[in-house]
Amino acid sequence: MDVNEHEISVRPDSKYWTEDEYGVGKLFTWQGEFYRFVGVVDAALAEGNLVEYASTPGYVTNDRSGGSSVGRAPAGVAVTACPVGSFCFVQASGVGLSDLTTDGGVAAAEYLMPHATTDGGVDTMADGSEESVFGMAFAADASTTLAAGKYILKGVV
Amino acid sequence: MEGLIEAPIGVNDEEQRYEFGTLYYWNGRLFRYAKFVDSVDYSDGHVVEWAAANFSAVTNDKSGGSSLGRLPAGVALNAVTSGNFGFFQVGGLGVVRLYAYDVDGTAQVAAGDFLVSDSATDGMADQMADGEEEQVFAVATAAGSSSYVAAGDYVIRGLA
Repeated sequence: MDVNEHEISVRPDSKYWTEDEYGVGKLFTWQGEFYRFVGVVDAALAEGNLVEYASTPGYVTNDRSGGSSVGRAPAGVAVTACPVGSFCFVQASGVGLSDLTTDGGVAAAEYLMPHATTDGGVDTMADGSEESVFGMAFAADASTTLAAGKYILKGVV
Repeated sequence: MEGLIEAPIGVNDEEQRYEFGTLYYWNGRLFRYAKFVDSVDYSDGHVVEWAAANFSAVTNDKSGGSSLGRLPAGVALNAVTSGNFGFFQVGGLGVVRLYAYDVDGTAQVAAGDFLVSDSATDGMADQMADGEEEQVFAVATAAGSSSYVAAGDYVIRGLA
């Protein structure tokens, strides 16, 4: 793609790549919302994983302990499964495309942040963690799932 | 959002050529265009704050200038002449170095630190302190040196 082209033609939730097809760390749009093209380290991503920035530029991880995460700095939500060492798009704005895994305690109108210990999981924001917010819930979770379409991303782009 | 034909780095216009307040896209990053005001020399990597309520001007001047306060607009890409117009980055992987070091007696920028515009030093970024969460404009993914966080070692967020 030319450097001034931002709209991708491929569905971001349809595939992953084994090569750095678009340039890791770059932002693109699809249907009016932002997606970030990333490389995956530490562990394979499942769809709906909340990923954090890893210590290598343009790479992300779902690993909350023992991996290469730099901390509770959200990079986006995985919209497809993606093996370690592969590349994919993660959602960075708009209404969520994928179900999130929660701790079972999310209520409507709560702010969301990465879970501190559950790999790829999300939690409700606690006082003092405002900088880690990545989304807002429109509905309560059901068991440990916050459904696609029931949250919106914020502050990730 | 408009795609830029020319690279935003190096632009130092005596006359306005782009719209204010518009989001521009180039090479996977997001940018805005404004007039760079006040008398402190600009450098690549300076944090700029909004200086005009109509999004037409930014400044790196933390005291004595026309900053509206700790309202981060983005990161300057080059040495824009005061009074001229240029681009600043507002989203994505940092394309230039970021001016940030231990100016307040705390540790230098570390991986995972959230960054805000420093309250006193012109053009500088600093680590977020409790109570400054609303001012965060970037997160570092690697430690900074004694003067800068390198290009690619931070991500700008929350400004687009």
